[in-house]
Amino acid sequence: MGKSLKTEIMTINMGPQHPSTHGVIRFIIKTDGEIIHECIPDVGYLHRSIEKIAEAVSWQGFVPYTDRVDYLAAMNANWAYCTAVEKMIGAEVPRRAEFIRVIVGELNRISSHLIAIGATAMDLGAFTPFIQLLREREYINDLLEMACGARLTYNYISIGGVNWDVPPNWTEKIGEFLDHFELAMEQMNRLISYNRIFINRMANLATVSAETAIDYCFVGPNLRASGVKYDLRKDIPYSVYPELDFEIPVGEGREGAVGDCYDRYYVRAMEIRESIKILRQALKMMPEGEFQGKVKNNIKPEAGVAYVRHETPRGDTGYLIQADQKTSPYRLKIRTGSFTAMAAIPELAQGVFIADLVAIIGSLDVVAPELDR
Amino acid sequence: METQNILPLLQSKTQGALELIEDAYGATIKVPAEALLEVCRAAKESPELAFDCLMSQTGSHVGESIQLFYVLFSYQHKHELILTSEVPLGGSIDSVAGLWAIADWLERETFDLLGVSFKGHPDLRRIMLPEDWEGHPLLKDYPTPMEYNGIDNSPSEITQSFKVK
Repeated sequence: MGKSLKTEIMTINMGPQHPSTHGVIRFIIKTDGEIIHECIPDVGYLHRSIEKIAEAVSWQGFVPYTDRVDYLAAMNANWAYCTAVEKMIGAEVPRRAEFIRVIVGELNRISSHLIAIGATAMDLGAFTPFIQLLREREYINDLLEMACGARLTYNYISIGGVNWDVPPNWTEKIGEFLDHFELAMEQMNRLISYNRIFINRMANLATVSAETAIDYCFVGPNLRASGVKYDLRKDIPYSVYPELDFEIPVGEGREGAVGDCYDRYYVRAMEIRESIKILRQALKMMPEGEFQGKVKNNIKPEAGVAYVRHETPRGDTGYLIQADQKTSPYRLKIRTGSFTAMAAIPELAQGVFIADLVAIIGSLDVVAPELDR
Repeated sequence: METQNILPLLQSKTQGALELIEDAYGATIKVPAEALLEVCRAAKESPELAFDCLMSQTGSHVGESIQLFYVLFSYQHKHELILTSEVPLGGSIDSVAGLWAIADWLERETFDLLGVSFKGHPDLRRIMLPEDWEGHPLLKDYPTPMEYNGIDNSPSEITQSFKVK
Protein backbone atom coordinates (compact mmCIF):
# COMPACT_ATOMS: atom_id res chain seq x y z
CA MET A 1 0.00 0.00 0.00
CA GLY A 2 2.85 2.34 0.93
CA LYS A 3 3.78 3.22 -2.64
CA SER A 4 0.26 3.71 -3.94
CA LEU A 5 -0.64 6.13 -1.15
CA LYS A 6 -1.05 9.56 -2.68
CA THR A 7 0.41 12.42 -0.73
CA GLU A 8 0.05 16.10 -1.32
CA ILE A 9 2.47 18.92 -0.71
CA MET A 10 0.91 21.43 1.62
CA THR A 11 2.07 24.97 2.29
CA ILE A 12 1.78 26.05 5.88
CA ASN A 13 2.70 29.21 7.64
CA MET A 14 4.74 29.40 10.86
CA GLY A 15 4.95 32.76 12.54
CA PRO A 16 5.42 35.71 12.63
CA GLN A 17 3.70 35.37 16.01
CA HIS A 18 4.83 31.94 17.09
CA PRO A 19 6.19 30.99 20.51
CA SER A 20 9.14 28.99 19.21
CA THR A 21 10.50 31.22 16.46
CA HIS A 22 12.43 33.34 19.02
CA GLY A 23 10.99 36.64 17.99
CA VAL A 24 9.02 37.89 15.07
CA ILE A 25 10.14 35.65 12.20
CA ARG A 26 7.93 33.92 9.66
CA PHE A 27 8.57 30.63 7.90
CA ILE A 28 6.73 29.49 4.81
CA ILE A 29 6.96 25.71 4.95
CA LYS A 30 6.08 23.30 2.17
CA THR A 31 5.43 19.97 3.84
CA ASP A 32 4.45 16.47 3.00
CA GLY A 33 2.81 15.38 6.19
CA GLU A 34 5.36 16.15 8.91
CA ILE A 35 8.38 16.25 6.58
CA ILE A 36 9.60 19.65 5.40
CA HIS A 37 10.29 19.83 1.67
CA GLU A 38 11.11 23.49 1.55
CA CYS A 39 11.40 26.15 4.20
CA ILE A 40 11.56 29.80 3.23
CA PRO A 41 12.33 32.21 6.05
CA ASP A 42 10.58 35.53 5.72
CA VAL A 43 12.51 38.03 7.82
CA GLY A 44 12.40 41.77 8.26
CA TYR A 45 9.48 42.12 10.69
CA LEU A 46 11.79 43.83 13.17
CA HIS A 47 13.66 45.96 10.68
CA ARG A 48 14.04 49.35 12.36
CA SER A 49 16.59 50.77 9.90
CA ILE A 50 19.21 51.09 12.61
CA GLU A 51 21.89 51.53 9.94
CA LYS A 52 20.02 54.52 8.52
CA ILE A 53 19.60 56.01 12.00
CA ALA A 54 23.39 55.75 12.46
CA GLU A 55 23.84 58.20 9.61
CA ALA A 56 21.76 60.79 11.46
CA VAL A 57 23.04 60.57 15.05
CA SER A 58 26.44 61.42 16.52
CA TRP A 59 29.14 58.78 17.05
CA GLN A 60 28.40 58.61 20.80
CA GLY A 61 24.67 58.92 20.19
CA PHE A 62 24.61 55.61 18.36
CA VAL A 63 25.66 53.57 21.42
CA PRO A 64 22.09 53.21 22.82
CA TYR A 65 20.92 51.99 19.41
CA THR A 66 23.43 49.14 19.52
CA ASP A 67 21.56 47.92 22.63
CA ARG A 68 18.57 47.40 20.39
CA VAL A 69 20.58 45.49 17.81
CA ASP A 70 20.99 42.57 20.18
CA TYR A 71 18.99 43.06 23.35
CA LEU A 72 19.98 39.69 24.83
CA ALA A 73 23.62 40.72 24.89
CA ALA A 74 23.46 44.48 24.85
CA MET A 75 26.77 44.92 26.73
CA ASN A 76 28.61 43.04 24.01
CA ALA A 77 26.78 44.99 21.32
CA ASN A 78 27.83 48.27 22.97
CA TRP A 79 31.34 46.99 23.29
CA ALA A 80 31.57 45.87 19.65
CA TYR A 81 30.57 49.30 18.39
CA CYS A 82 32.76 51.19 20.86
CA THR A 83 35.89 49.17 20.00
CA ALA A 84 35.22 49.90 16.34
CA VAL A 85 35.08 53.65 16.95
CA GLU A 86 38.03 53.52 19.36
CA LYS A 87 40.12 51.82 16.69
CA MET A 88 39.13 54.52 14.22
CA ILE A 89 39.99 57.48 16.43
CA GLY A 90 42.87 55.75 18.24
CA ALA A 91 41.40 56.28 21.70
CA GLU A 92 43.12 54.81 24.75
CA VAL A 93 40.96 52.85 27.17
CA PRO A 94 42.06 52.84 30.85
CA ARG A 95 43.00 49.45 32.25
CA ARG A 96 40.26 49.46 34.86
CA ALA A 97 37.67 50.14 32.16
CA GLU A 98 38.97 47.21 30.12
CA PHE A 99 38.47 44.89 33.08
CA ILE A 100 35.01 46.27 33.80
CA ARG A 101 34.18 45.64 30.14
CA VAL A 102 35.44 42.08 30.28
CA ILE A 103 33.42 41.42 33.45
CA VAL A 104 30.14 42.88 32.20
CA GLY A 105 30.72 41.38 28.77
CA GLU A 106 31.25 37.87 30.12
CA LEU A 107 28.33 38.19 32.54
CA ASN A 108 26.18 39.16 29.59
CA ARG A 109 27.60 36.29 27.53
CA ILE A 110 26.50 33.89 30.26
CA SER A 111 23.01 35.39 30.45
CA SER A 112 22.66 35.29 26.67
CA HIS A 113 23.72 31.63 26.52
CA LEU A 114 21.32 30.82 29.37
CA ILE A 115 18.45 32.14 27.26
CA ALA A 116 19.72 30.24 24.21
CA ILE A 117 19.94 26.96 26.12
CA GLY A 118 16.74 27.45 28.11
CA ALA A 119 14.70 28.47 25.08
CA THR A 120 15.98 25.50 23.06
CA ALA A 121 14.97 23.13 25.85
CA MET A 122 11.59 24.80 26.14
CA ASP A 123 10.97 24.52 22.41
CA LEU A 124 11.56 20.80 22.74
CA GLY A 125 8.97 20.60 25.47
CA ALA A 126 11.10 20.84 28.60
CA PHE A 127 9.73 23.76 30.54
CA THR A 128 11.61 23.41 33.84
CA PRO A 129 15.14 24.22 32.57
CA PHE A 130 13.90 27.46 31.03
CA ILE A 131 12.44 28.65 34.32
CA GLN A 132 15.55 27.60 36.25
CA LEU A 133 17.95 29.27 33.82
CA LEU A 134 15.85 32.40 33.69
CA ARG A 135 16.10 32.56 37.49
CA GLU A 136 19.91 32.53 37.22
CA ARG A 137 19.71 35.19 34.53
CA GLU A 138 17.77 37.40 36.93
CA TYR A 139 20.76 37.37 39.30
CA ILE A 140 23.01 38.49 36.43
CA ASN A 141 20.54 41.21 35.52
CA ASP A 142 20.70 42.37 39.17
CA LEU A 143 24.50 42.58 38.98
CA LEU A 144 24.40 44.51 35.72
CA GLU A 145 21.71 46.77 37.12
CA MET A 146 24.01 47.57 40.05
CA ALA A 147 26.66 48.70 37.58
CA CYS A 148 24.53 50.71 35.18
CA GLY A 149 20.95 50.98 36.36
CA ALA A 150 19.34 49.05 33.52
CA ARG A 151 18.38 45.40 33.20
CA LEU A 152 18.15 44.88 29.47
CA THR A 153 19.38 47.80 27.36
CA TYR A 154 22.38 49.05 29.26
CA ASN A 155 24.08 51.87 27.33
CA TYR A 156 26.96 51.28 29.77
CA ILE A 157 30.07 50.93 27.64
CA SER A 158 31.05 54.23 26.09
CA ILE A 159 33.65 55.26 23.56
CA GLY A 160 36.89 55.33 25.57
CA GLY A 161 35.73 53.45 28.66
CA VAL A 162 32.53 52.90 30.58
CA ASN A 163 29.93 55.49 31.57
CA TRP A 164 30.09 55.03 35.35
CA ASP A 165 32.37 53.33 37.81
CA VAL A 166 31.07 50.17 39.44
CA PRO A 167 29.61 50.39 42.95
CA PRO A 168 31.61 49.25 46.01
CA ASN A 169 31.25 45.54 46.93
CA TRP A 170 30.24 44.79 43.32
CA THR A 171 33.13 42.40 42.76
CA GLU A 172 32.35 40.51 46.00
CA LYS A 173 28.71 40.22 44.92
CA ILE A 174 29.81 38.70 41.60
CA GLY A 175 32.07 36.28 43.46
CA GLU A 176 29.14 35.17 45.62
CA PHE A 177 26.98 34.78 42.53
CA LEU A 178 29.60 32.63 40.78
CA ASP A 179 29.86 30.28 43.77
CA HIS A 180 26.13 29.77 43.65
CA PHE A 181 26.00 29.67 39.84
CA GLU A 182 28.54 26.87 39.49
CA LEU A 183 26.22 24.60 41.47
CA ALA A 184 23.28 25.73 39.35
CA MET A 185 25.24 24.77 36.24
CA GLU A 186 25.75 21.27 37.65
CA GLN A 187 22.02 21.10 38.13
CA MET A 188 21.48 22.26 34.55
CA ASN A 189 23.84 19.59 33.23
CA ARG A 190 21.96 16.91 35.14
CA LEU A 191 18.67 18.29 33.87
CA ILE A 192 19.45 18.69 30.17
CA SER A 193 23.03 18.00 29.09
CA TYR A 194 22.91 14.31 30.04
CA ASN A 195 19.17 13.93 29.55
CA ARG A 196 18.55 11.03 27.16
CA ILE A 197 15.37 12.53 25.68
CA PHE A 198 17.09 15.85 25.02
CA ILE A 199 20.13 14.12 23.51
CA ASN A 200 18.01 11.98 21.22
CA ARG A 201 16.17 15.02 19.96
CA MET A 202 19.35 17.05 19.34
CA ALA A 203 22.00 14.53 18.26
CA ASN A 204 22.62 14.01 14.53
CA LEU A 205 20.13 16.72 13.68
CA ALA A 206 21.03 19.40 11.09
CA THR A 207 24.70 18.48 10.95
CA VAL A 208 26.79 21.34 9.56
CA SER A 209 30.23 20.48 8.25
CA ALA A 210 33.10 22.91 8.72
CA GLU A 211 33.05 23.78 4.99
CA THR A 212 29.33 24.54 5.00
CA ALA A 213 29.68 26.57 8.19
CA ILE A 214 32.39 28.73 6.61
CA ASP A 215 30.48 28.95 3.32
CA TYR A 216 27.48 30.37 5.18
CA CYS A 217 29.78 32.56 7.27
CA PHE A 218 28.70 30.93 10.53
CA VAL A 219 30.36 32.68 13.44
CA GLY A 220 30.89 32.18 17.15
CA PRO A 221 29.50 29.06 18.85
CA ASN A 222 27.77 27.88 15.65
CA LEU A 223 31.10 27.85 13.81
CA ARG A 224 33.02 26.29 16.68
CA ALA A 225 30.39 23.54 17.02
CA SER A 226 31.35 22.48 13.49
CA GLY A 227 34.90 21.91 14.70
CA VAL A 228 36.54 25.16 13.57
CA LYS A 229 38.58 26.44 16.49
CA TYR A 230 38.27 30.15 15.90
CA ASP A 231 37.48 32.72 18.53
CA LEU A 232 38.39 36.39 18.11
CA ARG A 233 39.19 36.61 21.82
CA LYS A 234 42.13 34.27 21.11
CA ASP A 235 42.82 34.68 17.40
CA ILE A 236 42.70 38.47 17.06
CA PRO A 237 43.00 39.29 20.76
CA TYR A 238 41.54 42.55 21.98
CA SER A 239 41.08 44.23 25.34
CA VAL A 240 42.80 42.27 28.17
CA TYR A 241 41.91 38.79 26.89
CA PRO A 242 45.57 37.87 26.17
CA GLU A 243 46.26 38.07 29.93
CA LEU A 244 43.40 35.76 30.83
CA ASP A 245 43.56 31.99 30.77
CA PHE A 246 40.65 30.22 29.11
CA GLU A 247 39.91 27.49 26.60
CA ILE A 248 37.93 27.59 23.36
CA PRO A 249 35.37 24.75 23.40
CA VAL A 250 34.77 23.18 19.97
CA GLY A 251 32.28 20.60 18.76
CA GLU A 252 33.61 17.06 19.03
CA GLY A 253 30.52 15.07 18.11
CA ARG A 254 29.91 14.09 21.73
CA GLU A 255 26.60 12.37 21.09
CA GLY A 256 26.42 12.23 17.30
CA ALA A 257 28.15 13.83 14.34
CA VAL A 258 30.39 16.88 14.66
CA GLY A 259 28.35 20.04 14.08
CA ASP A 260 24.91 18.71 14.97
CA CYS A 261 22.38 20.52 17.13
CA TYR A 262 23.70 18.85 20.29
CA ASP A 263 27.23 20.12 19.58
CA ARG A 264 25.92 23.65 19.15
CA TYR A 265 24.12 23.31 22.46
CA TYR A 266 27.12 21.78 24.19
CA VAL A 267 29.60 24.41 22.97
CA ARG A 268 27.39 27.08 24.54
CA ALA A 269 27.17 25.16 27.81
CA MET A 270 30.98 24.82 27.87
CA GLU A 271 31.43 28.49 27.04
CA ILE A 272 29.49 29.39 30.16
CA ARG A 273 32.07 27.40 32.13
CA GLU A 274 34.92 29.27 30.43
CA SER A 275 33.21 32.61 31.09
CA ILE A 276 33.08 31.74 34.79
CA LYS A 277 36.83 31.08 34.63
CA ILE A 278 37.45 34.43 32.91
CA LEU A 279 35.28 36.24 35.45
CA ARG A 280 37.12 34.76 38.45
CA GLN A 281 40.47 35.89 37.03
CA ALA A 282 39.25 39.33 35.94
CA LEU A 283 37.73 40.02 39.36
CA LYS A 284 41.11 39.36 41.00
CA MET A 285 43.08 41.36 38.44
CA MET A 286 40.87 44.46 38.18
CA PRO A 287 42.98 47.47 39.21
CA GLU A 288 41.90 50.79 40.70
CA GLY A 289 41.98 53.88 38.53
CA GLU A 290 40.15 55.78 35.84
CA PHE A 291 37.09 54.27 34.20
CA GLN A 292 36.83 56.65 31.26
CA GLY A 293 39.65 57.68 28.96
CA LYS A 294 40.02 61.10 27.39
CA VAL A 295 37.85 61.28 24.29
CA LYS A 296 36.88 64.50 22.55
CA ASN A 297 33.21 65.38 22.77
CA ASN A 298 33.06 66.03 19.06
CA ILE A 299 34.48 62.93 17.40
CA LYS A 300 35.38 63.25 13.72
CA PRO A 301 37.26 60.14 12.54
CA GLU A 302 39.46 60.34 9.45
CA ALA A 303 37.84 59.57 6.11
CA GLY A 304 38.04 55.94 5.04
CA VAL A 305 36.61 52.48 5.49
CA ALA A 306 37.23 50.36 8.57
CA TYR A 307 36.09 46.81 9.26
CA VAL A 308 36.26 45.83 12.92
CA ARG A 309 35.24 42.46 14.34
CA HIS A 310 34.21 41.57 17.86
CA GLU A 311 33.29 38.31 19.55
CA THR A 312 29.76 38.66 20.95
CA PRO A 313 27.71 35.72 22.31
CA ARG A 314 26.25 35.21 18.87
CA GLY A 315 29.69 35.26 17.34
CA ASP A 316 31.87 37.55 15.32
CA THR A 317 29.96 40.80 14.77
CA GLY A 318 31.49 42.86 12.00
CA TYR A 319 31.14 46.62 11.88
CA LEU A 320 31.92 48.09 8.49
CA ILE A 321 32.13 51.83 9.01
CA GLN A 322 32.70 54.40 6.31
CA ALA A 323 33.62 57.80 7.70
CA ASP A 324 33.97 61.15 5.98
CA GLN A 325 35.31 63.31 8.83
CA LYS A 326 31.83 64.30 9.94
CA THR A 327 30.18 64.07 13.35
CA SER A 328 28.19 60.98 12.33
CA PRO A 329 29.08 57.85 10.32
CA TYR A 330 28.68 58.13 6.54
CA ARG A 331 27.65 54.48 6.29
CA LEU A 332 27.58 51.83 8.96
CA LYS A 333 26.86 48.18 8.31
CA ILE A 334 26.48 45.56 11.03
CA ARG A 335 26.92 41.96 9.96
CA THR A 336 25.54 39.85 12.77
CA GLY A 337 25.71 36.18 13.64
CA SER A 338 21.95 35.68 13.57
CA PHE A 339 21.76 36.89 9.97
CA THR A 340 24.27 34.39 8.66
CA ALA A 341 22.82 31.54 10.74
CA MET A 342 19.32 32.24 9.45
CA ALA A 343 20.51 32.23 5.85
CA ALA A 344 21.39 28.55 6.24
CA ILE A 345 17.91 27.50 7.43
CA PRO A 346 16.54 26.65 3.93
CA GLU A 347 19.38 24.17 3.47
CA LEU A 348 19.35 22.75 7.02
CA ALA A 349 15.58 22.37 7.23
CA GLN A 350 15.25 20.20 4.16
CA GLY A 351 13.83 16.78 4.95
CA VAL A 352 13.47 17.24 8.72
CA PHE A 353 10.31 17.08 10.82
CA ILE A 354 8.50 20.33 11.59
CA ALA A 355 9.17 19.74 15.29
CA ASP A 356 12.89 19.46 14.52
CA LEU A 357 12.91 22.81 12.71
CA VAL A 358 12.17 24.36 16.07
CA ALA A 359 15.21 22.60 17.56
CA ILE A 360 17.40 23.81 14.67
CA ILE A 361 16.35 27.44 15.12
CA GLY A 362 16.93 27.15 18.86
CA SER A 363 20.35 25.56 18.47
CA LEU A 364 21.48 28.29 16.03
CA ASP A 365 20.53 30.90 18.66
CA VAL A 366 18.83 33.24 16.23
CA VAL A 367 17.65 36.50 17.77
CA ALA A 368 15.19 38.37 15.58
CA PRO A 369 16.16 42.02 16.32
CA GLU A 370 19.79 41.23 15.58
CA LEU A 371 18.79 39.49 12.37
CA ASP A 372 16.64 42.34 11.07
CA ARG A 373 18.35 45.34 12.69
CA MET B 1 49.05 38.29 3.86
CA GLU B 2 48.83 42.06 3.56
CA THR B 3 46.58 43.71 1.00
CA GLN B 4 49.66 45.23 -0.69
CA ASN B 5 51.03 41.72 -1.37
CA ILE B 6 47.65 40.33 -2.42
CA LEU B 7 47.23 42.93 -5.19
CA PRO B 8 49.86 41.56 -7.64
CA LEU B 9 48.53 38.02 -7.16
CA LEU B 10 45.00 39.11 -8.07
CA GLN B 11 46.20 41.37 -10.90
CA SER B 12 47.88 38.42 -12.62
CA LYS B 13 44.48 36.67 -12.81
CA THR B 14 42.48 39.44 -14.46
CA GLN B 15 42.57 41.89 -17.40
CA GLY B 16 40.80 44.65 -15.45
CA ALA B 17 42.99 47.29 -13.82
CA LEU B 18 43.01 46.85 -10.02
CA GLU B 19 43.80 49.81 -7.85
CA LEU B 20 45.18 49.93 -4.32
CA ILE B 21 43.42 52.52 -2.19
CA GLU B 22 44.97 53.40 1.16
CA ASP B 23 43.22 55.34 3.87
CA ALA B 24 43.67 55.95 7.57
CA TYR B 25 42.40 52.46 8.45
CA GLY B 26 44.27 50.27 5.97
CA ALA B 27 44.18 49.34 2.34
CA THR B 28 41.38 48.21 0.06
CA ILE B 29 41.49 47.02 -3.55
CA LYS B 30 39.25 48.73 -6.08
CA VAL B 31 37.98 46.36 -8.76
CA PRO B 32 36.21 47.39 -11.99
CA ALA B 33 32.58 46.18 -11.84
CA GLU B 34 32.95 43.89 -14.87
CA ALA B 35 35.99 42.12 -13.37
CA LEU B 36 34.53 41.56 -9.89
CA LEU B 37 33.33 37.98 -10.32
CA GLU B 38 36.63 36.99 -11.92
CA VAL B 39 38.65 38.59 -9.11
CA CYS B 40 36.46 37.04 -6.41
CA ARG B 41 36.83 33.61 -8.00
CA ALA B 42 40.62 34.04 -8.11
CA ALA B 43 40.62 35.19 -4.48
CA LYS B 44 38.65 32.13 -3.42
CA GLU B 45 40.30 29.50 -5.56
CA SER B 46 44.02 30.32 -5.65
CA PRO B 47 45.64 28.28 -2.85
CA GLU B 48 47.91 31.07 -1.57
CA LEU B 49 44.88 33.35 -0.97
CA ALA B 50 42.07 30.83 -0.23
CA PHE B 51 39.42 33.34 0.83
CA ASP B 52 36.86 30.76 1.89
CA CYS B 53 34.50 33.15 3.69
CA LEU B 54 32.58 36.24 2.62
CA MET B 55 32.42 38.11 5.91
CA SER B 56 30.30 41.04 4.86
CA GLN B 57 28.91 42.64 1.75
CA THR B 58 27.29 46.02 1.50
CA GLY B 59 27.34 49.32 -0.31
CA SER B 60 27.06 53.02 0.22
CA HIS B 61 25.63 55.86 -1.84
CA VAL B 62 28.46 58.20 -2.86
CA GLY B 63 27.62 60.98 -5.31
CA GLU B 64 26.00 59.52 -8.40
CA SER B 65 27.08 55.94 -7.79
CA ILE B 66 26.94 53.08 -5.32
CA GLN B 67 30.23 52.00 -3.81
CA LEU B 68 30.15 48.29 -3.02
CA PHE B 69 32.22 46.57 -0.33
CA TYR B 70 33.15 42.90 -0.14
CA VAL B 71 34.93 41.81 3.03
CA LEU B 72 36.70 38.49 2.48
CA PHE B 73 38.36 36.34 5.11
CA SER B 74 40.44 33.19 4.93
CA TYR B 75 40.18 30.75 7.82
CA GLN B 76 43.11 28.86 6.34
CA HIS B 77 45.59 31.77 6.18
CA LYS B 78 43.81 34.03 8.70
CA HIS B 79 43.98 37.07 6.46
CA GLU B 80 41.38 39.61 5.49
CA LEU B 81 40.75 41.62 2.33
CA ILE B 82 38.31 44.38 1.46
CA LEU B 83 37.36 44.68 -2.21
CA THR B 84 35.46 47.72 -3.41
CA SER B 85 33.68 48.31 -6.67
CA GLU B 86 31.49 51.00 -8.12
CA VAL B 87 28.22 50.81 -10.03
CA PRO B 88 25.93 53.67 -11.13
CA LEU B 89 22.71 54.28 -9.14
CA GLY B 90 20.31 51.42 -9.82
CA GLY B 91 23.06 49.65 -11.77
CA SER B 92 23.98 46.02 -11.73
CA ILE B 93 26.98 43.81 -11.00
CA ASP B 94 27.70 40.08 -11.18
CA SER B 95 26.47 38.10 -8.22
CA VAL B 96 29.02 36.14 -6.17
CA ALA B 97 26.32 33.84 -4.74
CA GLY B 98 27.85 30.98 -6.72
CA LEU B 99 31.11 31.34 -4.77
CA TRP B 100 29.89 31.85 -1.21
CA ALA B 101 26.48 30.66 0.00
CA ILE B 102 26.04 33.61 2.34
CA ALA B 103 26.28 36.06 -0.59
CA ASP B 104 22.69 35.09 -1.43
CA TRP B 105 21.26 36.90 1.59
CA LEU B 106 23.88 39.64 1.82
CA GLU B 107 23.25 40.64 -1.81
CA ARG B 108 19.51 40.54 -1.27
CA GLU B 109 19.97 43.06 1.54
CA THR B 110 22.10 45.32 -0.65
CA PHE B 111 19.46 45.04 -3.40
CA ASP B 112 16.69 45.84 -0.96
CA LEU B 113 18.25 48.80 0.80
CA LEU B 114 20.41 50.30 -1.98
CA GLY B 115 18.78 49.16 -5.21
CA VAL B 116 21.77 47.40 -6.78
CA SER B 117 20.85 44.47 -9.05
CA PHE B 118 22.96 41.33 -8.97
CA LYS B 119 23.23 39.47 -12.27
CA GLY B 120 22.89 35.71 -11.89
CA HIS B 121 21.52 35.86 -8.33
CA PRO B 122 19.28 32.83 -7.66
CA ASP B 123 16.49 34.64 -5.84
CA LEU B 124 16.78 38.42 -5.98
CA ARG B 125 13.91 39.95 -4.02
CA ARG B 126 13.50 42.25 -1.04
CA ILE B 127 14.55 40.79 2.31
CA MET B 128 14.04 43.41 5.03
CA LEU B 129 11.19 45.44 3.52
CA PRO B 130 7.82 44.26 2.19
CA GLU B 131 7.53 43.38 -1.52
CA ASP B 132 5.40 46.44 -2.28
CA TRP B 133 7.76 48.95 -0.68
CA GLU B 134 8.88 51.82 -2.87
CA GLY B 135 12.42 53.12 -2.96
CA HIS B 136 15.65 52.06 -1.32
CA PRO B 137 16.06 53.57 2.17
CA LEU B 138 19.85 53.66 2.44
CA LEU B 139 20.17 56.02 -0.52
CA LYS B 140 21.15 59.46 0.71
CA ASP B 141 18.29 61.18 -1.14
CA TYR B 142 15.57 58.83 0.13
CA PRO B 143 12.53 60.79 1.31
CA THR B 144 10.81 59.48 4.46
CA PRO B 145 7.46 58.11 3.26
CA MET B 146 4.47 59.86 4.83
CA GLU B 147 2.14 56.89 4.36
CA TYR B 148 2.33 53.15 3.77
CA ASN B 149 -0.77 51.08 2.95
CA GLY B 150 -2.99 53.40 4.93
CA ILE B 151 -0.59 53.66 7.90
CA ASP B 152 0.02 57.33 8.59
CA ASN B 153 3.64 58.35 9.14
CA SER B 154 3.36 62.12 9.03
CA PRO B 155 4.90 63.90 12.02
CA SER B 156 2.34 64.39 14.79
CA GLU B 157 1.48 67.77 16.28
CA ILE B 158 3.37 66.89 19.45
CA THR B 159 6.63 66.13 17.60
CA GLN B 160 6.17 69.32 15.59
CA SER B 161 5.77 71.39 18.74
CA PHE B 162 9.07 70.06 20.12
CA LYS B 163 10.97 70.90 16.96
CA VAL B 164 13.64 73.57 17.42
CA LYS B 165 12.69 76.46 15.19
